[in-house]
Amino acid sequence: MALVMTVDTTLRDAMAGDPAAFDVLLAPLLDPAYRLAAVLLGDRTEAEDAVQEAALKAWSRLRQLRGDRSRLRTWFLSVVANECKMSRRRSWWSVIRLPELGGSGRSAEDVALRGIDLQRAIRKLPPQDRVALFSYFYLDLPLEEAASVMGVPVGTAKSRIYRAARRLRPGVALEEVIDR
Amino acid sequence: MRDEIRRAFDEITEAPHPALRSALRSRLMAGPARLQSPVWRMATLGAALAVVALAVLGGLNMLSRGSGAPAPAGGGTPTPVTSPSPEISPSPSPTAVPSNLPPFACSSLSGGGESMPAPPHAVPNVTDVRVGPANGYDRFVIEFDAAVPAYSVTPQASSSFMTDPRGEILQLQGSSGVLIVVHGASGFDLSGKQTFTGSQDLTPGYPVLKEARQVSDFERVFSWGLGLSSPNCIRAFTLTGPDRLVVDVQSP
Repeated sequence: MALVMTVDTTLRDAMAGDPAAFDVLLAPLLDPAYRLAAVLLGDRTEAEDAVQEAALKAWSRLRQLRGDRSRLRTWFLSVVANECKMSRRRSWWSVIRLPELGGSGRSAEDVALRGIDLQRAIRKLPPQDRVALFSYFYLDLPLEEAASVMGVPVGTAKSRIYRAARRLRPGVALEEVIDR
Repeated sequence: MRDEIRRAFDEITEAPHPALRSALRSRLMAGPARLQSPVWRMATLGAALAVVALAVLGGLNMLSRGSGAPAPAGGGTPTPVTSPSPEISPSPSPTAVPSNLPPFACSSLSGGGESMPAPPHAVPNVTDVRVGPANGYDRFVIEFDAAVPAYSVTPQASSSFMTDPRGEILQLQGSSGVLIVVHGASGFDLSGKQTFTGSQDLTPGYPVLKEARQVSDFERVFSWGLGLSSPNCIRAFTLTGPDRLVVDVQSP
C-alpha cells in the first residue's frame, strides 16, 4: 500500500512538472532504455542523445499514462524506440556501428565460442530484428508489451521475433521461441 | 535460447555511463526549452541571430538619428522581484515548472498552520515521506492528507538526533544535520490506523543529503532528521494538491 502511494504521488508530481519526481521515475528505466537505444543505433553517443530526447518528450506526454504507473516502463521504452527510429532517419548518412559497442571487457578466452558467434549473428541482424529479440528476450517483456516497444501489432511482433530467432538458429521451432 | 540471447545482449551492450543520469537531470531542470529537436534548435538559433541583427541595425539607425537615450550603466532601474510566497501550487503541466521558490537560508525556518480547517478535519495525518535529487539541491518531502500544520526546520552541527520519547541517540550518515518538526501531525490517525507505512529510514546517498530518518512520532509531534555531508543552507515551503512540506538542502 505504501509503495503504491509513493509511486502514485511521484507520478503525480512528475505530471505536475516536478523534475525531481520525474527523475526518480526514470532512474530505474535508464539502463534498459540506454541498452535498447544502443541496440537500435549502435553508437554510444547517439544512444545517450536518444534517451535524453525521449525522456524530455516522455515528460511532456506523461498524461498519456492516465496515472497508470504500471505502464510506465513499456511506454517509456516505446518512446525511446521511436526516438531512435527518428534519429536513424535524421542521421541517414551515418553508418550503423554496432560492432564498435564495447563489451564487458572480458578476454576472448572467457567467453564461450558459441556466445561470440551469437553476438556476431545478432550484430548482423537488421535493427528491427535486433529490437525484437532485445525486447522479448533481454527485457523479458510479454509479447504485447514487446509489440508496443517495437511499434507493431502483436501478430507482427510474434513473426518478427520468430524470424529473427530463426536467423540465429535455423530450424528452431516456434514453440522454442514464443513461450507465452 | 532465451538465456543465450540475453547473455549475448549483455556482451553487446553495456550499462549507461553514470554521467547520463546527471546530464538528463540537468536538462530536466532546464525545462521545456530543451524539447526542441536539432532541426528546430538550428531554426531557433537562426531566428535569434536574425532578431539580433535587426536589433543592431535598428539601434544604429536610432543612434544615427540622435533620438535614443543611452541606458544607465548597470542596466538601469532594477526590476522589482516578487517576494516568494510560502504557498506554491504545483504547476499544471511540465511546461510550467515552479520558479518562484523561496531563497535558501542558513538559519532556522518555520511556517505552516495558517490554513487549518475546522475540526474534525483539523488533524492532518502523514501519508508519505520521500526524497528526491535535483540540480542544485536535494529535496525532502512530507505529504499530508490535510493542510500542513505548524512546522520548524532547524539546522544543527551534527548528524545525531535524540528520539522522542525514548531519548535514544540516532547517528545518521553525514557530519551535520537538519531537524524537521511538525506539530499536530502523525503517521497514525486518531483511530490508531497507520496512515504512513513507508520506510522510516531513507538512505539516498545524494551529494548532500545522505540519510533521512524518522526521529519521533509521539503525541502528534512528528519529526525527522536529515544527515548531511556538510552544513548547507536550506529552504522550506508548502505545496498543495496534495498538501506537502518541502525542505530543500542546497548542494554544490
